Amino acid sequence: MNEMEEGVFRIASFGARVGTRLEGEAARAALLSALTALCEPGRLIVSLDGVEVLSGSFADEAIALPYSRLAAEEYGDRYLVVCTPDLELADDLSHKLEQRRLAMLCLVDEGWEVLGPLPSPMRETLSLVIERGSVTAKDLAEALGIRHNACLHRVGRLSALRLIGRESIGVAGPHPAYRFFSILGG
Amino acid sequence: MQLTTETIDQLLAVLPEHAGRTLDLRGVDFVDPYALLILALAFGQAAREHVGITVRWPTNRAVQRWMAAMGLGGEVPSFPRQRPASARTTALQPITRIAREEDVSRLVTAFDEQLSARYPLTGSSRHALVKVMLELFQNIPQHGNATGELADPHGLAAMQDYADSIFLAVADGGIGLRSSLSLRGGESGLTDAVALDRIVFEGMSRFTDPGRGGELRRIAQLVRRWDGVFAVRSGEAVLYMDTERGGVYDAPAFPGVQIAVRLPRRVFGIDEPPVDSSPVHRVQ
Repeated sequence: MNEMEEGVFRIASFGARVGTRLEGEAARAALLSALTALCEPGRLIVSLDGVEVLSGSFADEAIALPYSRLAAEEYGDRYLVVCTPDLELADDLSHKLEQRRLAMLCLVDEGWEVLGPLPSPMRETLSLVIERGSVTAKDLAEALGIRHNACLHRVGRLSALRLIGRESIGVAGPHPAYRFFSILGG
Repeated sequence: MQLTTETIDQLLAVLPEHAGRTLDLRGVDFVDPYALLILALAFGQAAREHVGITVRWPTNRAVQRWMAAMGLGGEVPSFPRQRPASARTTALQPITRIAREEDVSRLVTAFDEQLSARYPLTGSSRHALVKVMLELFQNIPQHGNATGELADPHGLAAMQDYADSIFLAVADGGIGLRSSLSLRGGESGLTDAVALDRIVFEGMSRFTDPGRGGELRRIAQLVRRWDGVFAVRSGEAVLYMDTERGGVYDAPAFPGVQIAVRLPRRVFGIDEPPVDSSPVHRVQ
């Protein structure tokens, strides 16, 4: 896997207490500009450092809406990850992601969490990909003790949600083969 | 007689009968911020439409002073002017106009500063109240005139503290929830009660974008978790929730959306008397 270019986007530059949908629209334009400025593969960390209040409306416009476009593959091999000093601060964002049926990785307390809904088998799979950094579906299925097809379903969904990355490593039988990698880096 | 979230509809029910006549409020000895905003909207609208209702205002001096300090005179020209000395009251945050979304964050900050100037508030509940205000205030420019039919679309907000609670009221005389929701395909022809239910309990909005809507539902959940009181009134229906009951009820017709959020003081960590009871200042 190529090294990811990383950028940091600070929500606090729009205020400590954000805010309205109108303010969120302005933040979204800036966030998408920062995202598209990254080379592929690229990871933009959306930092909530310095933010006291993140309203649902602002969070939806500024973060959840661009994330839905990212999940619709509008921005190529790029990823968004939230970083927050306090999980409660991202609570309304989590609800907006839930409304949009999305889930997003969130760095908190030197660990990670998932904002939005993610069933426990998917979370287990995500955890293993993050732990290993990079892994094939075959190795992952063995480690999880599940059938290969079931594993492909899980990593396919995680990849579609932009929670993990994938790269082609040739073909295996009639289908292309992929290696799946953590978007959190080393 | 008290004019409150629970009783103001009795007044609204008889208001149409008083066109060209006198409405006697002299016996009123308490008014809460929700009722105050409805009075401001109702009598402000009556004055603009030249509907001649003569109001005999409360004779209770404390109520008079509070209503004056809350800025009712700015919205209702017939409200009697008070002597300057009487501006010293317990009023917390006077009636504030909300018209443009660009002003919402500044107004929310002003409300928050007014409350925290009076009380040393703890962080998370204070931030939760800020979020509530951000959502309720921006709903006015976002939805109150979504059809574009009003000449002067605006809303009002006010806040008051009591021995046991903090009371936030937000109101507008706009198109209401039913008209707003009818802009969404397949949601026309609803009653006010059904529109209220769809918006507050199901989290719907006039937009089909799945990220829109749900804010009133979140606020209702927060108020319930904190053992508060939550009321949303629109058209001919009112949703009322407190610690003992909750449901949607019929109400006399009134335009727009009016909301009451009453939260126990204990959730803000307030168990002390106010640190400052100096005269209040209107948000500019």
